[in-house]
Amino acid sequence: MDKNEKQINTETMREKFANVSGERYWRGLEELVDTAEFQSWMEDEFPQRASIPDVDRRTFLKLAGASLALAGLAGCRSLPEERIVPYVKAPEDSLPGQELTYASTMPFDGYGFGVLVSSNEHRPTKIEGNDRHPASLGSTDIFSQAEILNMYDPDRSGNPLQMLPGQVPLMGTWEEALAEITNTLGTLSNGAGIRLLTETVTSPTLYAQIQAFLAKYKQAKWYQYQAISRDNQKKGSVAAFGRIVDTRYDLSNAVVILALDSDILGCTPETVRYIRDFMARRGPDLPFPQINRLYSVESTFSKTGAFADHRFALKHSDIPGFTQYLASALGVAAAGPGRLPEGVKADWVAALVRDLVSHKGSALITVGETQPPEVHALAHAMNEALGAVGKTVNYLEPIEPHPVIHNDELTQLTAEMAGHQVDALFILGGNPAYSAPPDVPFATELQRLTAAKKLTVRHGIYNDETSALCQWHLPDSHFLEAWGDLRSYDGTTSIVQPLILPLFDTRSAIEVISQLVGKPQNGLDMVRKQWSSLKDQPWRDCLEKGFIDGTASKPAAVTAKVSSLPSTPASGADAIEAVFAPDSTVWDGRYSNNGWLQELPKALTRMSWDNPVIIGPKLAVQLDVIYEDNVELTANGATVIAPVYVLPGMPDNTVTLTLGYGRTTAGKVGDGTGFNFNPLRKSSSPWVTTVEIKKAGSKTDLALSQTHHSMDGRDIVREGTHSEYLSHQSLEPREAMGEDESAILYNLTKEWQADNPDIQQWGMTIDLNTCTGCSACEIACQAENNIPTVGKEQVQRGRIMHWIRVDRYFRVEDAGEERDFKEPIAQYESINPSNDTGAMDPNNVKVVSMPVPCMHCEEAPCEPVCPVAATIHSHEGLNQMVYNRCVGTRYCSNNCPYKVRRFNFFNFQFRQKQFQSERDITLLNLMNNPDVSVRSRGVMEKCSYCVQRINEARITAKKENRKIKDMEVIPACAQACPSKAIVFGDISDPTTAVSKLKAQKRNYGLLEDLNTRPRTSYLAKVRNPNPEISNAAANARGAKRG
Amino acid sequence: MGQLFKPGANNIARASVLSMGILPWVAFYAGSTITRSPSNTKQDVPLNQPVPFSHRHHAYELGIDCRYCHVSVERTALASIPPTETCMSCHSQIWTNSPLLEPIRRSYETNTPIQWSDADQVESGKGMTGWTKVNKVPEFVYFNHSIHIARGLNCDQCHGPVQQMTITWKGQAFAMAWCLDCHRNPEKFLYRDPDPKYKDLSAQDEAFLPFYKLQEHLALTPKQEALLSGETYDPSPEEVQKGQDLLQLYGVKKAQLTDCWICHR
Repeated sequence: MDKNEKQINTETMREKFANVSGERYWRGLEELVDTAEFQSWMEDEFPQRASIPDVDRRTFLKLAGASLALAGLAGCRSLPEERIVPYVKAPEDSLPGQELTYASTMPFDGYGFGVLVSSNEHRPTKIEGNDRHPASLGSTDIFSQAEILNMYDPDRSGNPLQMLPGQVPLMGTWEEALAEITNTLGTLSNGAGIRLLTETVTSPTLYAQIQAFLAKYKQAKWYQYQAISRDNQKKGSVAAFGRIVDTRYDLSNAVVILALDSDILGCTPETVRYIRDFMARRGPDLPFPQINRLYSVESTFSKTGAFADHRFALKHSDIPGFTQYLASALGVAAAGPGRLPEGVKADWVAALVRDLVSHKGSALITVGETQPPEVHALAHAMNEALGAVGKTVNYLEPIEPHPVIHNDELTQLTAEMAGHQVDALFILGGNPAYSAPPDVPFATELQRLTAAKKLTVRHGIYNDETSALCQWHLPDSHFLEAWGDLRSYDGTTSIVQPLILPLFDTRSAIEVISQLVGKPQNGLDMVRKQWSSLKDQPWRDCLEKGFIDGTASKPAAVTAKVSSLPSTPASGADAIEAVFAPDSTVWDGRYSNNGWLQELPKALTRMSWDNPVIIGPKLAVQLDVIYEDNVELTANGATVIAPVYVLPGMPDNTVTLTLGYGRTTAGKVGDGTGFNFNPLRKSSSPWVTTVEIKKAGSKTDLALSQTHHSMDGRDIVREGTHSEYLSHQSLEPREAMGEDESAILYNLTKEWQADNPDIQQWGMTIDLNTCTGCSACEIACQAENNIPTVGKEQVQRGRIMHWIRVDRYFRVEDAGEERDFKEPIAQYESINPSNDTGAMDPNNVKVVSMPVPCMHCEEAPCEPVCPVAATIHSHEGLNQMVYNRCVGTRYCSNNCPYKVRRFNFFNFQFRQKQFQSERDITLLNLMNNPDVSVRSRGVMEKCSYCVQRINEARITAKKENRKIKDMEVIPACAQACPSKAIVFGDISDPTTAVSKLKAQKRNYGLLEDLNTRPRTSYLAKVRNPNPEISNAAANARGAKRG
Repeated sequence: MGQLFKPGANNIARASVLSMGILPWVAFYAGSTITRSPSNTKQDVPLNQPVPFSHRHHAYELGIDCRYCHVSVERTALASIPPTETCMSCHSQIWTNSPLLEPIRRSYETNTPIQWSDADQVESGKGMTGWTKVNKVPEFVYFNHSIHIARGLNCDQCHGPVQQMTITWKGQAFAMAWCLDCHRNPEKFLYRDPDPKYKDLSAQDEAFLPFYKLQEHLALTPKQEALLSGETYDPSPEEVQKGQDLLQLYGVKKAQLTDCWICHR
């Protein structure tokens, strides 16, 4: 299909928007607008088949004959003789074929995240959450899952390199490099002119090493800078308390939560714990003061906003005014009257205030990093007024041993570099040459320093933009290769335990600094010395647990005082604000070269491999642009041309720009992906800027996965409100969900129970009520099941391979009809032309995220159509896919109503465009899970409910002569899920967790009326809106309609 | 113009037509026979090893238990090949100067995996390190030793008469149909020694009982005789009935044994 034909123009979009108002779900604007082109794209099971060359019959037969002959010949070889290499001395603690698990700690943003790492034959293969670690509680986020790929990344730098400007770097040895570096350091008397630049340091051992370094070189200075910092939080803390304290929320106590531009359920080092605590109070069977309610007022569309019960989209510059208004309403004296931004209804705020005040002690106001310090300070005061301190919000003594304002640090360092005060610069980690805002000319100064033959040394995992400007690049070890320690979000010190010797000639930061100090030690000795109070057994206990007890930060006794509030200037109503945000998959660019994360569709846009400019529909119509149209952004003297993505729900006159893309030397995977928006930033206001935006006239191809595998608007997502849910409590489960069994043609008796009385019957429930769409399940599944990445071009062709995808549905607010919880909501497709708000009003948009794995239908439509019986049913109710039978007809996928089957169009595992050398392939093979087949070209694959884990558990249970226990088998997706939304188990036993969930009235099967009898079922979403607000809104709509 | 073909050409034509019908079948049969023959599958073919290790000597003549070397066979999927250290636990004391054991000593001293000593022994492309793999199932087969041992299946059931092999060969070709013989009719293969003396033996120990009886020169049952000599054994109806009882006892779900994902995933 020609690319241009597929496009929809602004005119159709405008027309369609005018008509859409009734409640219905749609996955993207293309679907909403529903053009003929989109229809044909969707109806085509494998879009873009036309890429297969057009051959005439004669050529086809020739090729077919030749390939048949060759295929036959390929079978005619005797079995190859193989070698089997045993140990010389077998390690004591492991047996071949036995998976071992070690506790370790992943660094993220400077903080530690407790993980358990599986090791097969002593190679780490999978990362899971550490269930005892406070930051994880057994769950993971996408980054910890993907770290395993970072470790085996063939593009990691493996040798010290002497960088030669404009030439290929010279490979050096550590001895050479360190000799030269220490020589130069020796010439600097007392360390004058030595500067050390690190990222956020929380590690006690690293801090001790840095202190030793500073003690040896007395005049040396240490700076910290990272692109995604917590500067505003720190400044806000200083404004409110006079000093820096760390703010941590306890969402397990919070009932009414207001998030002010704050992505607490999004992604930060503490998110996994926050999500778990939040979801613990989300069970719809809880009455209201126990079930929580989330309000969000935000300047972008975040996962938190998408999950909120009430969301209001405001421009970034309007939020301080809103906060001030709210503060005065809450009785924070010094706040001043404030100014209610245009569009915000006073009674909406009044209802919010009443809700907050009536839950004193269990109310919470959180503020995001992008908001200015004054808003943070105000929130501290408001939380105090709400009695939240010590209950829902905790102030901790700073977790960083040396907390600083990162932007000031980099500015000062760059000034010193410009002022010729720097003679030797060490950059440990980070990538400031890429991420520094343009008004801090760090890269230029670094280049000048190197050109002036000053010592510039970079220590990092990749040879990247910053390394290229230095004299020396020293390779860093991955956290799975080196000893260390880190403090986690609550201060708990966690041990970084390596599982493997460094794959390359790398050394960790503490080892390098100990060399510079002149007392070289290995990492383990340093960590042991740091924790010398832990003798043998206590140390071993800590290693096993992964962290050291009693090291959490002490609460800080502080009282908020808000003296004066500098009035925050609101930009003009027509000025367009760009809000910067870390990218939800590549973060600040540190995961740019990670194919898994690059290909993972981003939470709300479902876009992979790119970071388009995210704008709302209103702005899109105003600019006359549509998806993939380029726009020209100008701010702070820089111009960037990038395509747009139109996301409903974005505040008016606001664009969201995510960081971390547009890197030039990221590696073979990350190079040339996306757009670098760092040049538009300003160090004084790194998170927001006013931009000029205009249509550029050109287009850029984007890889959008949201329209793949569409289920064509059928009854998919069900939801209701908490009060509706509770009032139907007495109804029978199915009736309550609007399903009348007599209306179904088919016989629904459960034959499997009669056939296989003793065999476990596997099933799964996915709770839409707690799913935030974080996609941890997708990456966990990829890591567990050796799922390849396919690259941007193949994603555009609809060939993404994820076995579980996370669908995101938008819904515009109900047009005013009385809605009955009995009816599946997706059936509301009534169009009401008199209501012209529709999707254009950002506050009308609701979101539901829905993970879709294989349903393991009991009457699976894929099975009867397979000509070679490559997909058949097991006695445990699994829909089995047998790769070695599959001949690749793809009939099964065609017949699958859920579109969960994935086809290997190419040999994705071994023929990655980027990695074709034997070394690269071997490295990436080491990462594979040995318990799962690696699929080759031409076979279909799909979710197996992690059958390798089921088999493992079954064999263990059989050896112990018992049944498999409930929750003994946990698929990778369920294990990773921070909300614990996915539950798996035996549905033939009514006492299992999954059976109990399936008995809930929220339970429904996807497209159940097709009589597929899916084993995977969904629990409807139950929102908990404030009745005051929702009633008012319904009345308003009713009045308008009437 | 005279006739182009003599009458005899008719025979050639007939033969051609006939062979067009027959030849594909002959070719198919020949092809499948060749692929199933020991020359391809290496069944019953002793394979060269860096050290001519004799199972007959160690396991039968000296009576060393299988599990002394194959340590993980009862516990994990793999039986595992012993590390050099295991060899040296004896050979640091006996046969310390044997030239045949040179690769073992070198491996132990240099802390490198066992190497082939004679380069000529090694055909190109097979590598100089490690033992030749004798038993191998395809990559997409996930065989688990431990569960088979836990059901009392003797090593020889699949590996042939290992205790008689001077140089080890593959006892079975490991074709899928052969696996299914047992997975379809496990009652024919599950077995317990009827002697009441062994009634308290765990199934796991039952697996190794024939070797024990062989060492102790105790009378073997016909089934055990057949196992240890590598012959196929046809169980009597009573034995099949006992096998049925064992299925019940072990809780083996017979139907499930032929599910694809039991072995492939």
